[in-house]
Amino acid sequence: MDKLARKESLDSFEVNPAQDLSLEEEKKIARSFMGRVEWEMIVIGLTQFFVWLGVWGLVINGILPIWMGFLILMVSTTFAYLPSHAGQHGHLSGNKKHLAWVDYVVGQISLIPLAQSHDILKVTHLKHHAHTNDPSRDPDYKHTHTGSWLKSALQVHFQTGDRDERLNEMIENWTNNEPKFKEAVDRGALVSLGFFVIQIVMAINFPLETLFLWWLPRKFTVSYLGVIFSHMPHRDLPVGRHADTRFWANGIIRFFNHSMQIHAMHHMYPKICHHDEPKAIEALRPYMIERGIPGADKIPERIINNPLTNLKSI
Amino acid sequence: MERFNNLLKDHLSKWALVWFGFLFWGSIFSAFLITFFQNISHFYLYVLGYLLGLIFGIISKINKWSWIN
Repeated sequence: MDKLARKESLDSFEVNPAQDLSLEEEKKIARSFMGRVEWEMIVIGLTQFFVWLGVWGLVINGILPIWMGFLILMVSTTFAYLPSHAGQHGHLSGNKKHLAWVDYVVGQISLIPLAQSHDILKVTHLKHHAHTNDPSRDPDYKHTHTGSWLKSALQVHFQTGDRDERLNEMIENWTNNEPKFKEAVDRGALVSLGFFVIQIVMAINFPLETLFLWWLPRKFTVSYLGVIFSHMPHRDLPVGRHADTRFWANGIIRFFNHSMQIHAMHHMYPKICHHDEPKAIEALRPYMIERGIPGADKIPERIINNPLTNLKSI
Repeated sequence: MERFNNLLKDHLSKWALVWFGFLFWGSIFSAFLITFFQNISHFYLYVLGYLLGLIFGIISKINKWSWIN
């Protein structure tokens, strides 16, 4: 395991008083990290889908035991969401209009193991960004702000359907008032209907395989996402661009958390690609400290392949 | 076509969980029953499995257990 690049800096860091910490300068630096095609996410999205497809083929043909396929897909399915997330923010196309189809196509293919619609996740996720931690407008609020990670892991499964009336009211409101939101939901509903039918057809033909290779891995992944992507970075924090997300650690190395310890960078500048966030944090660290982002004063000056376990949960 | 889509949408908004319980979980319950009770006629195990699935679907609809799908 790599060590922190400059551990000593954790306690001794001070903002250089001569540095220009204006918002304009902050944006100028942030913009220098935006605009590239995040090819890494395209590779991850397609690879995990082909792993999923390959495992299905091997299990159905009796080459791989179902329990081994189950274990492989429990891991690989956790990689299904981030490529779609990158597509939701236009990272897969580099926000270039003529490549916008890449955002959708790769994002949707990547979500097949999760049986989710890219369009619906996109419009609700963008609302999450616009209204993070607002109980009446953040779609993720209910499973984020729970008393424990276990409650989040369970609560996230009630995000769909009739059970979460608060979320249903939000969706109804946006659907009635925002034509683009409605269009996306209508398109997404067709994809969701497709997944509904396909899962039933698969279960009729391959019942145990469908349970162990599709349903269980995706339920586990949704719990994982609820805890690592929502609860840990946002729980108990207020509304506010520099206050709604924290730097955190849970003792597990960064890559097993999909780098969600540094999710605060994503909420500060969502247009910066996931794989460029460590470099962006290094450059924007003084600004993050100046703005009072929770935990920013605890992050190291250099973020390389380190676990960031020195960050205490804040 | 639009009328059919609306009817389907309306029907599934009320009965999707029941259908999913019946067909998806019914298939899975049947497969487990056949795996564990190999000496009993598969026909009866299928009937029992799909019946259990249907009951599971109805209970899910009543309790709003959207997590089953």
